[in-house]
Amino acid sequence: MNEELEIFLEDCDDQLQSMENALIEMQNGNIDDDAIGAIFRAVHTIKGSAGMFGFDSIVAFTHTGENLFDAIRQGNVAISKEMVSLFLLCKDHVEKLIEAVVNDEELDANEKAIGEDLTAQLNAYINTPQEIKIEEQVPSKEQVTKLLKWHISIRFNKDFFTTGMSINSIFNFLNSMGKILINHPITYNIPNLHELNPMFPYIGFELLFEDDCSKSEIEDVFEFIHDDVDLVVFKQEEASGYENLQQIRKEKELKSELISVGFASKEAFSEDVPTQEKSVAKVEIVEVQAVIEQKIEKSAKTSKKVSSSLRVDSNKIDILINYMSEIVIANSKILSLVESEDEEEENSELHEAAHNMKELLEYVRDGIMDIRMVQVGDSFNKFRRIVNDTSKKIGKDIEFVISGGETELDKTVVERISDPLVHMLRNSIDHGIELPEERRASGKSPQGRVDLRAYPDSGTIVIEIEDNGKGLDKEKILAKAVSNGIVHPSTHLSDEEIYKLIFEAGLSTAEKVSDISGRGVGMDVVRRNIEDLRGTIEIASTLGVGTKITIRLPLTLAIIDGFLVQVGNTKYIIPLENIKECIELTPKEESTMGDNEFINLRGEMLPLLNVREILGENESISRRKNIVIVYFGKKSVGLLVDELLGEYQTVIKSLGEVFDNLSGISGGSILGSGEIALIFDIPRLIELKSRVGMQV
Amino acid sequence: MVLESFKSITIYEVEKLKDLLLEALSEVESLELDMTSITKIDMVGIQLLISLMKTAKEEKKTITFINITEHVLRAIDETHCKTTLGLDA
Repeated sequence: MNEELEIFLEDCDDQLQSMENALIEMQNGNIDDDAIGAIFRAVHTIKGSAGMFGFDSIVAFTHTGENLFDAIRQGNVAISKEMVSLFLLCKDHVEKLIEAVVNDEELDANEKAIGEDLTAQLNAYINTPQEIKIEEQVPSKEQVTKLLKWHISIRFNKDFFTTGMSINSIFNFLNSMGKILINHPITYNIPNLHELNPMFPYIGFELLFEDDCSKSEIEDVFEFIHDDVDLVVFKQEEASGYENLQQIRKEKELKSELISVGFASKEAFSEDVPTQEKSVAKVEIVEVQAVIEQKIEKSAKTSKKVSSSLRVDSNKIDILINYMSEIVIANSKILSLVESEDEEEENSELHEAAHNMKELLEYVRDGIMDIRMVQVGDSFNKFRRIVNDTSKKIGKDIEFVISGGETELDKTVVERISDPLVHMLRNSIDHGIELPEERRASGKSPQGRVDLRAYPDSGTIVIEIEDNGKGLDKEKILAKAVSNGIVHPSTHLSDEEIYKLIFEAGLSTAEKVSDISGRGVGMDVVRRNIEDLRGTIEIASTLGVGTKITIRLPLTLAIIDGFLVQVGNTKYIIPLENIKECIELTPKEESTMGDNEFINLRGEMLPLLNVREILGENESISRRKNIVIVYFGKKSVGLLVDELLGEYQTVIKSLGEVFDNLSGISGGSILGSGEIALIFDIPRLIELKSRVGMQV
Repeated sequence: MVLESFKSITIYEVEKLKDLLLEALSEVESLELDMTSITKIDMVGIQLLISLMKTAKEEKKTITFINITEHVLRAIDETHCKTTLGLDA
């Protein structure tokens, strides 16, 4: 897909999204001028852009919508809820149209029929006199703005032809905005064949354009070729407009040409042919001022969070991150060589340089990681439509609140968390929130509420989905799990463990299987997706009150800061973000501990994980024993290891499919010495340790 | 002159075509261009043809275009250069 088409796609995406948001606001009763204006602008922009590319099908369809919305904007037609629903359907159809043209395909007969039907419905609204507001008698702002005649003089800079942009698309766009009354090509600058440089754009155009727009709106039309075009725009009625044009263009044939074609009369031009110094200076000042004004207008218009930004192919970032990883490894080697060869630190300059390097690399690494961070809000906002449609479909009244949208997460993580979140939102809507009558009967407000929150918390990002619905029924879940053979009838499970059962495949206590959820296939996939992202998921619930699902995700996927330890002959890495503290296990303490799986940490009982036992390591080389206390969320565990070797910045490399089932290990890393260190998957380890009584 | 080896008159062909046209024009008083095979034309091409017209006028020669396809004619019309190229039939 070429670059222009990509920009077109992304722009339309943005427009459609803001259109959808405004429409949903309206559907929920908030009908105001801002929303109406926003929708009109979105449709107008899409139509215009499509016009530039010659996508007639899109232009035609959006044209009707634009007309209707313009009528609404002017107060000639009153908007109703049915219209809003119709518009949401139209938005969907526009999406299909855009997809079709971008993939160079046609719509199938069914989709075409839908389009025709929608157009008919739109036209019906335009033509049927609706309840006309009485205030409509006062002409709206648009009606007061009269049609103006603009003179547009176009010349091209030397590279214009190489841009591949067709001037026709500009003409088409202008005609979709207003009307080009005169279009006169300027050919006197074209030399004969002997002198012609075929690639150079000698040709120019003089246009008389009628519209109720502003000068900057006309200049925006040329935005795509801004650097390659030389534009002079002024109102035809402007006193010295043509005079100035003559000064700027410095083409001796221009005056007679413009007069003969009918743009202006002789009187419009000043009699003096030699350029007066003053007026030239004046023209330049006017030009500069116009440029400044234009720039101010432009930056004021950019209400989006982007002031100067780039669209970057995310593959490029991934490549950078890969190289960054290799650099980190290479640097570790240098560092370890420096430190081992120079134990007395004789060559302190070398040491300092090496450490400086490490610090700089960390900055760069963090900077690159940061590029991949996107705000979760962009993704979350897309859920509004789904929540809206789903709840309306099954007759539930739901207030959907999103908070913490500015929280940032790695782009890949955001993409992969999207489906699980949608699934859980659907569950909340379908099984969580009750029907309005039910809610009223239990003394709740008929409108239910679903919250989607995101916030950072000690090296992780937390995402919560909370509803004030009917909560989870422990008894039912347990009963179902027992009858499915997942749990032995006699085992005792905590509340939390019972709730966790809903992640087992095949388990759904929904009485009815709707096409939204209830099949029991879903939550297990959700859990797997989240675990694949090295995240965890927890459920809390109170029967009759509501349910809260808490997901924790690591900030990044590729590089972590870790702590190196040794157990037996193997080195392990523990992610720094999970370490609470390290304590030495003296022989005395060890003997009092005996075979216990717990230690007494300042009065608290801490479960102990003997790494050597679990992972089958040999005896300690150095006879030293340490306990690294790690935590995830609210749970802590002590890892019994041998030596502590210090902080280590590391790149996670996957161990490959063969080692997929190695619980508790999330990957490997190549140390500076060339050895491989295994990386502990702390969340998993903690979970394994706490899964008491389950048939694992 | 038949332009049969050309399917389009666009930015890709103009350099070659310019030389051919100059050569052809130098040999005759009246040049007839058979546009049967031309299915595509862009602004660069139109500019070339305008230059050709000018050259002919300066040298007091004539240019006639024949067998222009509907599509090409429309493209020329959209850039408002029909009159310049003497195609107002």
